[in-house]
Amino acid sequence: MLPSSHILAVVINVVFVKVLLTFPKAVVENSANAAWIQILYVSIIAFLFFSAVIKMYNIKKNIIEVAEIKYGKTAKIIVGLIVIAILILNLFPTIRIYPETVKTVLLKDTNTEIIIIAMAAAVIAGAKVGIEAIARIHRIFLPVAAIILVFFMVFLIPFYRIEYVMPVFGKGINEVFFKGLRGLSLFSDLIILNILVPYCKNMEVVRKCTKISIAVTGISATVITLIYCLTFSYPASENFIIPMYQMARLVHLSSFFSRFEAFFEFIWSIMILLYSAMYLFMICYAVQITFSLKYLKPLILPMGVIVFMISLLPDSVMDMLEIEKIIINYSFIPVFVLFLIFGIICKKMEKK
Amino acid sequence: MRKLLLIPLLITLFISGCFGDEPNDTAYVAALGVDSAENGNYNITIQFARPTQISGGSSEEGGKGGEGIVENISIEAPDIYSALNIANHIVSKKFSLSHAKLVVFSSEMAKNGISDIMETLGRSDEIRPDLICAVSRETAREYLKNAQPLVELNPAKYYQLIYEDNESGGVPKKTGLETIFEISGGYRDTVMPLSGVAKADDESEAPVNENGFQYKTHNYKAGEVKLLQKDKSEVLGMAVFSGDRLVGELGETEADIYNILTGSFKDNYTSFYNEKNPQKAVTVEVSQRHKPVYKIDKKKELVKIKLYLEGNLYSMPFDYSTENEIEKFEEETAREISRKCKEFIFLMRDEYDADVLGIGEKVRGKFLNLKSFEDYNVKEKFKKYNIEVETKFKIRHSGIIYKKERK
Repeated sequence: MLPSSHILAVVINVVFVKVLLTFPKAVVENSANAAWIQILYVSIIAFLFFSAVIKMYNIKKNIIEVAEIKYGKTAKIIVGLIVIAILILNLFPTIRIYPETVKTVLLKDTNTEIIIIAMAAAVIAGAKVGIEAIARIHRIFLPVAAIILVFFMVFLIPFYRIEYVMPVFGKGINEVFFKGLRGLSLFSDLIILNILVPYCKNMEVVRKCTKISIAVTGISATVITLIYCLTFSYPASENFIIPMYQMARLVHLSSFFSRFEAFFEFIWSIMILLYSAMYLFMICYAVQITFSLKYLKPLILPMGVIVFMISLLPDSVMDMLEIEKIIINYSFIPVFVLFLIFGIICKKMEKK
Repeated sequence: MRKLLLIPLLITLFISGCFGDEPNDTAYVAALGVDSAENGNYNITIQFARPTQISGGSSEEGGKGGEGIVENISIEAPDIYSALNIANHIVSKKFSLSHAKLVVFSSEMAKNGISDIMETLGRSDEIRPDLICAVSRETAREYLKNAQPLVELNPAKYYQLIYEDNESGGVPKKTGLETIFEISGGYRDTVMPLSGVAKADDESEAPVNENGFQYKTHNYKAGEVKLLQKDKSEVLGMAVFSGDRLVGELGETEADIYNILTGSFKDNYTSFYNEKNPQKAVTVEVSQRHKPVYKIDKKKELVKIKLYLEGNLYSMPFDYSTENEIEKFEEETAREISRKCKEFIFLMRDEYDADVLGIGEKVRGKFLNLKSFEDYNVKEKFKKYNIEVETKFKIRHSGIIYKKERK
């Protein structure tokens, strides 16, 4: 059983990590300088959707277990495979883009493969120590990251230009509010919370964590995207691969304090390693319950190797970015549909 | 588990430490000069620091400082990185741009467009956002050859002080990153500081201001101030761009007006005309109380600019008492600043077709989406706009003397 504060820290981190990477770029490409409105809008929709759907879940089981209870083992395996596929699709762009970015900005002379191997070792070791340890480190580290991010936003104040967020609706209402629905993929990682249900004390904890995590990540993502739009004028803002890194480079307080990206890289690396370790553990856990395996730990190394090998399939960062764009555009659909379907199933089971 | 703990221990023992390029093996570029060459190539001048001259190397006397602290090499290449690649075969150390502080373009080259070079600078992860971009009236190579820091040990610090931290104005205040984005596809045109090389014995060509703002002061451009020292480089005035092409070179007075209109004017000693004693200028330390306020009326096609300036009296004729007519002086000065600002805006709009004040960006707020803004074609429409500039100017202090004429 995990304390609710630990679960909350895990869920906030897994959702927020996207904002540290390429997600703001994808949103700016869609809505231009109205990207922050799009994020605010999808956050409100996600909050309303999950608040409504989570009420239907009254059994302390995740969707894979519910599928087995309701429709038997075959259904469990099908649902389990869908969940595993979603988890792998959510994880693999991160574990490719992060080391590639580290190579570009930090370790130019090191081969990407070596960085990926180092990252894989850290992630596999992290997953091996188990969910309690990962969740505890999330709980310890998240406040530190939050403090650094607040400083980051304050230091950027001299660069804010209000005219950069004009016109208010950027590329237009259609792009922001209709095509912009694709931004719901920011919350597709909430599937982790559903899989974590057996680790929660009761369903009330799950409901509370769902609402708080969406509120916190929605507000944080909106604020981060807003400061990005305030700092860089469109169309320049749609060209940066890692917007947060680009903003961190700007911080310059006289000659005494510059190169803030060193702090940023510190929180960036730890958050991404925690995210990846958590995700790897969750993939193995999903495999374990899908195929009714007795042990989880022996799965971590082979599964880690498989996931990292998948991440190496795209030939270049540009190819990876194109694949990630497709994932960002559509990954929310299966997650939201699964949540809705199994919410309805849980409700029916409760009535019976 | 204990065996597992050995892994981090071994990592700390064997993998921690310095990898990659040692500082001793690196040549830090302080400035880059870009001139045009034949076949569409560029003449890239790389100015790099000589650490042994700065620190003294193995000698016991310490660094020499002065002119020896930098060295220049010029290479013809298709871009900056190709030039660095060749330079790495000429100088024993490996060049790094991570401390580069200045990129200077020759005016001749800038007239043909600099977007290609700007693209390289914007893409580079080595180049810092606080890089300074400037235009040289001579070749960039000539400028860098003459830029010999006399009172600085650190060449990057020299460029930072002379271009950025110089509060006496005369050059536009703008970061390199802003310049890069404005050149490569922003909604506003850019300006850059103007640099040049002094011609020591020549008569100055700079005209003397005969009107109120910077009264009786030469409107110098870089290279026009007479110098009798070894460092012949100068930074004064501003280069105006329309798109990625240089369209005009203006003097220090216009650079001050630009800074006033963009809200980056800092404590600057400014001389003003006064009606009572036109022979002598009154010098005031002028600063901006807060940023200018732009009000744009799209329907009336009107831009109203409100400026808020204040000053401290610093110098005036001996037999003259400004304090007695302070309000009149303030009004005269405010009127003069407004007039000069309007002149500047018309010059940019009508002669140079350059939106250096970002009026286009400010108009964006009047639209709901980018398409309707782009359809509006602000640059063309702005040509019909009326401009109103209102300046509020207040003298706050009179130094440590307060003289009042007895009646």
